[in-house]
Amino acid sequence: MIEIREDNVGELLNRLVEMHCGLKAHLFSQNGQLASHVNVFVNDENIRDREGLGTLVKDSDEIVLVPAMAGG
Amino acid sequence: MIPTRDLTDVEREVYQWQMWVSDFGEEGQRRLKNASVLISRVGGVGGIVAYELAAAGIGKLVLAHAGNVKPSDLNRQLLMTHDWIGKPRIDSIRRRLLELNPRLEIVGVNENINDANASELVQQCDLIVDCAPLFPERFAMNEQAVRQGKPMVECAMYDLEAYITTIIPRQTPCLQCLVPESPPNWKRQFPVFGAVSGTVACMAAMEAIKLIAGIGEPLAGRMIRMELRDMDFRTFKVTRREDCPICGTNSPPTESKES
Repeated sequence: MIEIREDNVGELLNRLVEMHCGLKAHLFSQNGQLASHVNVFVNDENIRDREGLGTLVKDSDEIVLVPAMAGG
Repeated sequence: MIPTRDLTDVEREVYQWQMWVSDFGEEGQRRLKNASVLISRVGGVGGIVAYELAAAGIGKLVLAHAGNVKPSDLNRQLLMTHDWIGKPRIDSIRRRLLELNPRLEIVGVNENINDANASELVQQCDLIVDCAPLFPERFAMNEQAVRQGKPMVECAMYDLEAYITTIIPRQTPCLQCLVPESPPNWKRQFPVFGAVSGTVACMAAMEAIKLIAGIGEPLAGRMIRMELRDMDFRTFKVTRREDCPICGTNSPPTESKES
């Protein structure tokens, strides 16, 4: 778990990839959009059902990145 | 229409302890006996799903898994054994399941799910448990699950992480609502302990039992993501995409069951 303080999910993810540059290729497509195979949740809600990367976050919110996986 | 088969005295004896589950009972057991489940593949996750369903008294399993047993299968694929290395996996799977439950009907296919065989295999089952290690296989089953209106328990893992959700076609998100495209970096070989694949597999088997018996609340519209590295379990809401090519507004309709 990492603590980052930003106003919205997009800014938060940008900070995250600055801290861990290897993540960028996994989280974002070449045109800078969030990769379709990554679901991002703020608490229990998908940001797709809110305002996407513009979803505002509060100090107490937990953001969870769930990459697609197929191990079977 | 196939008549419902009642339980035999032997089955009442074998399944006595689970029929003590108050909302399951003999009716739940009868539903399991008369149900069929497709599982693909039948390895680290699917093998445990199949084993638990065989133990619970499922009537029929449709199982798809290609290839021969390799040494590297044996850390997690508990239906494979050392003495079967080099021989067809599907034969090992059949042998091990029938050792546990000789009453089980098995349709075993020595190939993996693909666009050519998915429709026919899904037609033979009431419910699907998706345990395939490649996205094209998962997408082929997802598409047929939605087309044929069959529920699909969707479960997967990587490293010490796993997730599970239950897809009810046209009611909950389908797999391609959650993952519209194959991740470009996904590889066939992935880090796995058998205890991780087995954890999510047991949960998937329980989802299948609940759906068939009509007990409890399935994981419809919810996804559990578990990180076993720190035993962090979370439940997220998941929703459909209107633009999903499989189940969205402009997708082909569900096929009639009579056709």
